[in-house]
Amino acid sequence: MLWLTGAALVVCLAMVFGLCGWIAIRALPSFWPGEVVALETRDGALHVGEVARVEEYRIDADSAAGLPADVRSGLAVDEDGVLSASRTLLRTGNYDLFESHFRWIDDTDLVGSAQGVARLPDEVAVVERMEWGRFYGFPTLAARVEDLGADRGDEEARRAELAARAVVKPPDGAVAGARVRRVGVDGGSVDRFVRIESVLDDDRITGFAWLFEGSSEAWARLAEWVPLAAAQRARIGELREREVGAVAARLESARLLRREAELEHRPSPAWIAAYDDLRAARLAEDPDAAARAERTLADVERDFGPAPAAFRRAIEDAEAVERAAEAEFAVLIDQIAAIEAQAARHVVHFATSAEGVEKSIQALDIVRAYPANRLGLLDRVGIYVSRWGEFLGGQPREANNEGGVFPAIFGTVLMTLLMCLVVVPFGVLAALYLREYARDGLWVSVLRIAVNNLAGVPSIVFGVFGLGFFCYIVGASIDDLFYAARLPQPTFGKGGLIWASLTLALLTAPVVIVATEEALAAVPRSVREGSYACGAGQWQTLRRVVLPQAMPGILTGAILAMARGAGEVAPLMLVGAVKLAPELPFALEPPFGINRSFMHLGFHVYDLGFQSQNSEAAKPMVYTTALLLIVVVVILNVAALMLRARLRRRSFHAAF
Amino acid sequence: MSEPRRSPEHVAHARRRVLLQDVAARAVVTVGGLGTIAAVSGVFLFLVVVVWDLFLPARIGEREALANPRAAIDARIVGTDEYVGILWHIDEDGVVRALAIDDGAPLSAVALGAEGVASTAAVSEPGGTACAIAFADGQVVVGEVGFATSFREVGDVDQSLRSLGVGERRAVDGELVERTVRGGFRLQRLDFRERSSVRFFADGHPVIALHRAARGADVVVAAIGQDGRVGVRRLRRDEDPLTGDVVMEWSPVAAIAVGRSASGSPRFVRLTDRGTNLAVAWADGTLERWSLRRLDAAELAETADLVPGNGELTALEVLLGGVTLISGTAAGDVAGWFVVPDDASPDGFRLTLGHAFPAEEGAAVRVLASSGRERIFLVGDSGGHVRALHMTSEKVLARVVSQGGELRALALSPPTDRVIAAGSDAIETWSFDPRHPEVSLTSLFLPVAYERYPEPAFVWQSSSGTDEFEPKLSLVPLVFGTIKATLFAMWMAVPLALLAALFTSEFLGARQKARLKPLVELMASLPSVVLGFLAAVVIAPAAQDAFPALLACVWTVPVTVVLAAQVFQSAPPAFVAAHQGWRLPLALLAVAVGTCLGMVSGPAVEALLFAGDFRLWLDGGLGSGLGAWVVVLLPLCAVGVILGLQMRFRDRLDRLVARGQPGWLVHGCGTVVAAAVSIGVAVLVGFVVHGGLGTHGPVDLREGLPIGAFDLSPFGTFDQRNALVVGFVMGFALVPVIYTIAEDALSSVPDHLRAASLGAGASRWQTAVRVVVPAAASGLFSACMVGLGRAVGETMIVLMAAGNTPILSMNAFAGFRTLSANIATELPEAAPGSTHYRTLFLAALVLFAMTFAINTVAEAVRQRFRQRAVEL
Repeated sequence: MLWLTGAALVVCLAMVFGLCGWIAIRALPSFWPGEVVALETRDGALHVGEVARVEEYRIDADSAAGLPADVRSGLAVDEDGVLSASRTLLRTGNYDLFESHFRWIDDTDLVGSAQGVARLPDEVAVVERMEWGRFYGFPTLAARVEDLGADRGDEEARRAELAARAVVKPPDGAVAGARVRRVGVDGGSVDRFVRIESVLDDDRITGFAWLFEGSSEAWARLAEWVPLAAAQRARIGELREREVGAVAARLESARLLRREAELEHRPSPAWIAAYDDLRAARLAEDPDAAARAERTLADVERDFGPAPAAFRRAIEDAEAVERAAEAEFAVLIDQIAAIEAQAARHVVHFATSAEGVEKSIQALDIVRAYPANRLGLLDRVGIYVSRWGEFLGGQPREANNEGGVFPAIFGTVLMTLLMCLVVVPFGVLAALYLREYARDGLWVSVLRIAVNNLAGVPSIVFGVFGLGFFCYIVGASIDDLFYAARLPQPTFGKGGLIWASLTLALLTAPVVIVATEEALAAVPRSVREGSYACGAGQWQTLRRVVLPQAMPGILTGAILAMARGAGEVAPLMLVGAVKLAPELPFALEPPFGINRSFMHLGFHVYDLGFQSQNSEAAKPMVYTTALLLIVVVVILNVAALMLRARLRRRSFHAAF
Repeated sequence: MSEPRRSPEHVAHARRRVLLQDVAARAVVTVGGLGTIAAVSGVFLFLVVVVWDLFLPARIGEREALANPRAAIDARIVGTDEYVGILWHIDEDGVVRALAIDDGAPLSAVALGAEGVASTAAVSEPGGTACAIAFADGQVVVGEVGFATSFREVGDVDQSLRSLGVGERRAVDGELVERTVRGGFRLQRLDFRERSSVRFFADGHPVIALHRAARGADVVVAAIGQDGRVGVRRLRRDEDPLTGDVVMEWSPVAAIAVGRSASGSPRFVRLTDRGTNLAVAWADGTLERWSLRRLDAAELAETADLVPGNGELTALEVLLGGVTLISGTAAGDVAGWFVVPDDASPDGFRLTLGHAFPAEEGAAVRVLASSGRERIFLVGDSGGHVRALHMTSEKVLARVVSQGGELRALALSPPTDRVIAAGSDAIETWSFDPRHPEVSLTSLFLPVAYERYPEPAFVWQSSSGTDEFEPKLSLVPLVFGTIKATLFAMWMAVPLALLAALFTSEFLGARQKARLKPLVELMASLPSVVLGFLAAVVIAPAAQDAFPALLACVWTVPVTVVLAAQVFQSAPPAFVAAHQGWRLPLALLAVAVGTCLGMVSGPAVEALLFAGDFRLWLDGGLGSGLGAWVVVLLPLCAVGVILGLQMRFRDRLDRLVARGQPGWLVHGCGTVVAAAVSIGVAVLVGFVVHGGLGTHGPVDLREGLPIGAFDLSPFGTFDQRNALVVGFVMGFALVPVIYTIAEDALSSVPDHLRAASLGAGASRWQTAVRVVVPAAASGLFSACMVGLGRAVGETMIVLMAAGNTPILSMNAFAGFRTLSANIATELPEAAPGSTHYRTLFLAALVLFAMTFAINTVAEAVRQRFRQRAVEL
């Protein structure tokens, strides 16, 4: 029996290590740039990709009989005569071409007797794209497209310009001795990238391109263009941010201005409707409609009275703001379009594993491209590190299956900090009351039992409360009072960072209260009495003597609360965590973004692991996110444990 | 310090300041502290407040009588438009009349039949506008009471209308004019859209009762002739796909040969189930149900008696959804009937009594009318009493008394916000708010008769695509799922955690303990969403083929460990004493060996007990149920056998050892023999229970062990996401919770007890089991209770790994749905304030109450334990 107890402890420990180990084993290699294999099947198809996993499966006798003799003889047979073979799950990428990210390849279908021996094509490129996921292919050509624009000038002028450009030097960086040719591009469309041999004789030609033929040339251009594209993407992202952030906000503020005026002056809705009709008719430059709308407006003004002058002024102001914002919007859009056009000039052309299927990819779409089978160890480490960097600092792409989790990290951290900001002062106050101020008796023990009990109340119950009380009652009241102009679009009356923080603060309050109480109780009576004997008041004693001594304990409580809060997901599903938040929950203007929905690491794991459409492709992300979450929570817990250990040592010393 | 200032004023000032600070601090701390505690406790209060609304009674307003332009009203059916602005009624003279509901101003009237021909019967769909009217000349009109809507701008209407404010209504020239928000005018005019009319019986025989039902685009009409014959016709609607022309065509009369089981003329005819069932009823309560699946070959499905005894059937109507029949009798009784599957019946169904509403006033039921949105219906009797009832929950929502003379027709407005009664003298209306009619304590926690369910059942099925769906809001399956999850998790966590705690507290050195305990506690901090993900995505698929091996492990691991222990302990005492520290690594080795043994023997177990294919065997397709019994009985038998053998043979073994036989061999053999014997006994007992108990044949656990509505058998059909997987992973989450508290309790047993026990010659194991564990028993119990509380509320693991099917089966290989997972999945989609929303709050409250009760017990026990520990 004694041994059984020992075994129980061993099993517990084994489970902890097994679980964390499993996650680490699955998570850590997932960003490692593996080798790319090429498998040729008997139907003549070539499959190129990274091996996701290999598994054994049973073959029934009928399908085994259909296999060629040499393949059949190679099958494994167990003692019952059951045949088994292995199959490989190959990540073939190229979703836009093949409509799947993964493919099962049976070893029995492979060509040649040397099954399971994969070819490692030297030239293959792994391309991580902004859209459509990974691409596996063989770079054949890089092109710099010079677009002359179809609508620029007449035919003669265009030909003249083409002729003039024909003598342009090759672009900088062309490899010496490389065959650089000048060809035209059909319509500037990159996806239908066509080489046209006769440049000047074709009327449809609108531009031309510098071609860098051969894979080494293409690799050289990729190395040059991909960082450039990253900079351009960053610039575009920045402009979009400004466009969305500033101009959209001004458009919104114009709408709010008008809505506020409506709420203040309360013109009749009929007048507003008629006025809007009139304005729409004028904007559409439809004189008939405008005349009709004017008549209606006049009628309405007779029935309901004209709108107050102040209101008319207010809506004219709002319209001015709107016009200015729209103009600015147009400028930004132009700027973005210009950069995009600039960036779209760089195109790399790939052959794929499928015969005759080729694909041109704009450098702008390429996040990372590397020759998987030619990398040295250092290169691989470099890519591995850069992928982790992207994971920790980047935005999610591809329905969260790729890219980074920075918004989730940001959301988790900010929510936890806000929660701490609320729960620690109030939790400490409650503990101070219970331990230092309240008189011991029935009342205090009832309160204490209540607090201990609340620590055991399921988190989802707090989530229900948060949704019902914070979002739908407090938030809706705030909306009514301060953001009435934005209704029916809720500002605070929905899930948001602040409500999630408050909900978790309620959830973790008992943790802080209990920990603080323990810390206060650990401060020896003698110390207090010493302080009183020196003439200090109760508050002075508390502030100068007791609290500093109890500080590590209080900190422990705070950290434990943070750990609990960071790992909690169930209530967040109700009060504001979302799959994909368009903006970070932070802003410089009131209400500082705290009302926004946010992303959260735990919810990210749930969403990717459980709700994802493409679960195989999502797995690396789930494991890495789960690992990240565990690491954060474990670090917080270990910090709390160490603090607690220090506190115990200190209180031991203090109790002499 | 520079110059100490010690003037008396200054000292007094300082003292005042200190005192002031004290008072202020006390106030701040008291208010803040109590406020914080109050805020946290407010959670409970808030839940109660939200839930409270569920149980408030429906509201009904004051009676409003409409001015009556005609001397007498002889309405057959009555209704309102969607916006409850226009009230219409179809009268005995065959005219449909509309009036403004605000002031009773007449709007317009349309004659439906031939000039001067009175109507003999009229029906409309529940709460709707589609109707069928029969006339004395044998004509039947099928159509829809509609409203033609048109809009006018301000300039296009009469000057007098322009004084109307926004939202105000006025009747003008037979039209209801309403000023819209945009300042324009909406005009509504009664517009009866006739779809088709036909001389129903070919010989022009008059129809005295009829009913209609939509079957796809077609309409089925059933009618009773004056001479008692019953016929059914179908109005076929064919649309030419090219031209879009619509052709309406009546099928010939399908004569139904009713009356074989009753005498006289039938009085009621009703179509249910989209016109596939025809109910024909006589005044004495006899009902014949005809299956109309093929119109030309109607088939008598069954005969039932709606009114037992000598009562008279006075009303028969169809509830929303077209499944339930409502009957009313001369004694005032009302009942709901629907068909349930029954293999003995010719068409596979049988009419059963679902709900009974006892008479209140004793007056004969005259009129029944169903709502078009909810399962509410109105009952009016000959005394003018009108009741609003809810079919599913059997709640009486409201009672009013009509003063408009003899009741002719009743209706609920489409949004169910107004009750309308057409009496012989006046039309009356009452404003109405049913609140949450489908919820009552009985419907939440007791079996409810749902449409098409053979017996009252516990069902949770909240989502609804259409209004016709019957929401099923029983919390019992969710509570059951919660208990199931808890049981499976506790079954795994409690032994593991308590044993581990015992070892940690009693047999580990202080340094080892300081290192290992935080590691186990670290388990507690693993986010449950990660555990849930692993359970659903990794463990469930991996375990689905490994269950026999896992079952084998449950057996082989303890046996191997015990074997290893025997061998180790049988070594020379000096060796054992010198190598105490090796115990843990050796245990690890034994566990690993045991696991390997279990994995290896898995296929053999599968072949022997589960017919070679565990999942097929579970589905009941293969082998016998013996294996199930063996699995259930084995642990019990093992305990019995080991205790028995210990008592009987312990001394003999010791004697053998004393005679110089090697101890490890003797004890090892003893262990193996004990394991083998218990397996043998389990198989034997299983064989007896499986085959012998059954006076009704073998008792097969796979087929379920129904007790009431619950299936308590742990075997059954296999799901990948099942209770065992959840139990394993959730157990994992519970272990640290139980472990920490249990270990604290064990460690806080004072050392002098141990010293006394050891001093009296007891071994450390004896001390641990006989002295420390009893002293800490209440602490251990409280640890388990706290673990239980955690298990009840755990959300993410069950949400991800439990399959979320709200079933009432203990089957370890099937999923379940817990209260918490249900809240997490459904609350984000529930409309705030709706019945569904508040019911989910109730689920949260139940969860709160469960955990609160469990934690309070745990806390109380712990307090007592502390007191006892102090006394020791």
